[in-house]
Amino acid sequence: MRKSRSRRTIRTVSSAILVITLLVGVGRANAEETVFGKLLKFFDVDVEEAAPAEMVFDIADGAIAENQYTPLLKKLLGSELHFVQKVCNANDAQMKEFQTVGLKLVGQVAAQYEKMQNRNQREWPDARDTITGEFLKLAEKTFDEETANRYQEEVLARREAKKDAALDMMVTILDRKLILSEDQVDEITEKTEQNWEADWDRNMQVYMYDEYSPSPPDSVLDKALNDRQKNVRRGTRNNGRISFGWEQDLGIIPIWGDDGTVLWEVK
Amino acid sequence: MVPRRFSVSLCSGLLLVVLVVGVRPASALDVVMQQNMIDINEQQIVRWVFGNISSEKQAIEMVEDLLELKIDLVRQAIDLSDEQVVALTLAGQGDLHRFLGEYYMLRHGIKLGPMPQDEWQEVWRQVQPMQKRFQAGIYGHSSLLNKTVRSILNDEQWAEYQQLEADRVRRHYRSIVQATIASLEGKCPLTQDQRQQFIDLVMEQAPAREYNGHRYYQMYYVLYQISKIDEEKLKPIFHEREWPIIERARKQGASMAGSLNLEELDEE
Repeated sequence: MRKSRSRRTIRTVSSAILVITLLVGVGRANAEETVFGKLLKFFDVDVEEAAPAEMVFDIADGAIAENQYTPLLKKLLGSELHFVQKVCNANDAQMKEFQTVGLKLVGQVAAQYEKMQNRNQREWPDARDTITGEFLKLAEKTFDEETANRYQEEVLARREAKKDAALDMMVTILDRKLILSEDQVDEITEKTEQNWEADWDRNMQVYMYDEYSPSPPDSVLDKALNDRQKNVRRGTRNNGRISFGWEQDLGIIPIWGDDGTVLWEVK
Repeated sequence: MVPRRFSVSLCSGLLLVVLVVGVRPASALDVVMQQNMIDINEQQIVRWVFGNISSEKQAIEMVEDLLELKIDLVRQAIDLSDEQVVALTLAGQGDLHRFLGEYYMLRHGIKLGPMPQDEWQEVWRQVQPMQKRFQAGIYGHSSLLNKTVRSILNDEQWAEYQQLEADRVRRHYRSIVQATIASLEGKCPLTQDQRQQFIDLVMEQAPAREYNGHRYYQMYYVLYQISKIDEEKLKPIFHEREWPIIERARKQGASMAGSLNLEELDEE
């Protein structure tokens, strides 16, 4: 009887400790680093989603919204500030102005991302386009005409180079599978460019995976390919689109990983 | 007293069960783990090896179409005689039958129906090389078709065909170089001059080649080539603050050498 009571007590206490441990663990587990994290991973619990959202501060008075998105967005801003300095040879006062505007944009984008996260939306607005779009307007006000034009030209050339790289990769992936003629390459390239979708060059990493990479639209390929190529295309794997998440989509983390190097320290 | 202890114990036990069951969603893995069996059918084996195809007949038709496309590629450079077309077709069919022979050997060695997970892993280990070979293309460098092209063309025709292939490979390689540099520009935005000089240097560094390893590594292959460029040539392109980022990319590229199947590329 005594032994039985003692066992019950031990069982009760152990269950209670385990329950408390699990409850505390759910709140504190950080990814896979802790025992709780590993336990939750085993149970398929998404810790990031379970974790409470960080506070977003009001930016009306010029303060910057700080949340989980801000540090990486600041790095993105830093790379764009470096670009302004490099292309426009801006002085300290001009750079300060760009940084002030940039920080406000970072706050706005971070708040926007936070809202999207809360609504479980995954199509993140392009933060780089947001920043460079505002910087283009600011450049017109800040610099002489020649410098502002140079900046605009460089921003557009960079944007175009990325688009061209994505477009050429799309056609290369197709050509490897379907052995296109030179005329077909030209036709598909031209028509795909005319039907370009912004999402296709968001993240170049997608072109490391043939089966997940975007393909020229069916409307273009239906006209450009012959029957044999269409048949081969039907048989090739395409697993649809893949999302690498907002951090990777920002493009500030290279495919080979980030070593923390910053081109421009945003304070 | 006893009922109270009993109820406390029961409550904490129930809470624990609710937490564990509630937290863990049902998944496909659960089914596999519970039953520890995987159902294999013929269609799955076809899909594993050939891609988005549901029968062996369709797979063979697709490969025959690929053969025709490959012969069309030679035709883009040269006017082939009927005899030459027949020779190439026979050679390509030889490649197809050799591949299919190995595929049938593999398929007949696989027991259809439910299979324990550890047996399935062994099957998958055997399927993967065939899948990889098919994805890389059975009419590649070491194919009978490719060797026959060389043997049936005269020197002039061969030179023209080689030029066409070289242009094609160069176009492919350039697109990967551009994509790698565009990816790098996310961290380190470049001016037009910098970009152009960088792309030109990478293209000059090594002969353009089709990267036939896993596509995942093709951008790392470019990083590897960037790591081989003389620092004196490369460094002047970049701003002092930018160079550490490029150096880091070079180190990463150099460290990937072991994963890039460079020996196989050299053979080609």
